[in-house]
Amino acid sequence: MNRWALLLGLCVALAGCGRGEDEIVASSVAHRFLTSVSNDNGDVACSLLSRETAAALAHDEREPCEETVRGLELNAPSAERVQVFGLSAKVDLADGLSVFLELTPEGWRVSAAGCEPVAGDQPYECEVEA
Amino acid sequence: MKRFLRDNGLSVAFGVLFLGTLIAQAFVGLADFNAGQIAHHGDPISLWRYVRSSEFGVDVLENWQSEYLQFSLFIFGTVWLLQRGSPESKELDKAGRESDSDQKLRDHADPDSPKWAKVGGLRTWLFSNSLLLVMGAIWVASWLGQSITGHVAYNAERFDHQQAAVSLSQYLGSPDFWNRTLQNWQSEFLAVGSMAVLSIYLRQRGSPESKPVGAPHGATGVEG
Repeated sequence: MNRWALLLGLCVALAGCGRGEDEIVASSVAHRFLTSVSNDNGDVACSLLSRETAAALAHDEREPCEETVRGLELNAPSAERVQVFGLSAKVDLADGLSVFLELTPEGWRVSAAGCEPVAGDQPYECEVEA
Repeated sequence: MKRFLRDNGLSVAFGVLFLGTLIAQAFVGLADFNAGQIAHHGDPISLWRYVRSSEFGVDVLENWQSEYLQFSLFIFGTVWLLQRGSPESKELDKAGRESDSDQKLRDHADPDSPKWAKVGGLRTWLFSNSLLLVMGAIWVASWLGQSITGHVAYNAERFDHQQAAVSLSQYLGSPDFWNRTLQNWQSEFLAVGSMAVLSIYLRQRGSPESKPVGAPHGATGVEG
């Protein structure tokens, strides 16, 4: 029993055990965000954005976040790959676009969405970002 | 207790210093990390979350690996490499692995020599190289740990900037990995090299890392 407790402690200490769960939750948050945008549900969509991204969206468009997200043209295709590194995650979607997320005290939140890869090592071009 | 501390003062003192500085590093590392989070409009994290993070892991392990590499190379190099006048060097006619007699092996072992020095075969070979093998294994393990935690921390930062992740093999060829590695290696090699040379001409009375104060500068393989 003690040996298993030690192994579990080591596993938690090395932060390897929760990664699969993080991938599921990050993917779920990305999907809920995109579905909310597709359904014009601004309240839910904005609640799934990181504070910085929600504020940037409202600031850029000079409208409340809830109004701004209704104008976004984002679909909610299935996730093809989820990668989690530390407090950051990326969900690659079937339409070739990606969603970036960050882990906040409230859980995983979208920091950028509608992101398209750019040639070279440049940052993705995103429809929503901070 | 008093006798235990006297007999083990060196290991106890450095063990306490290690734990104290590791804990201090965790606190100041957290403060630094959270300052970065706030600067990027992110959320501060807890101490427990930070000490489990790859950012803390890579900062710790990149230093561990270089220290163990330093001592491993020093143990290995001083078998053959000499430095006239340095207490860190063997005497000038003793380069190499030395004879069984010099090393008190097999038939030349003393009655109180460790058993594996007497028995011969694989066990004696293993015991004869055990210090380098263990120190080298810790170096490899901590360098591997640095590469894994560094890979995670590097990709987390790339995601923060909306860049694609890199594979572990790509990370092992990245400037980030080699910058972390080489900045530690160069400082270790400088410290060892300068210690070997400075100890030719300088002394610390009472320290076995120095020659006796009155020993001539040319005396080699003499410890104070």
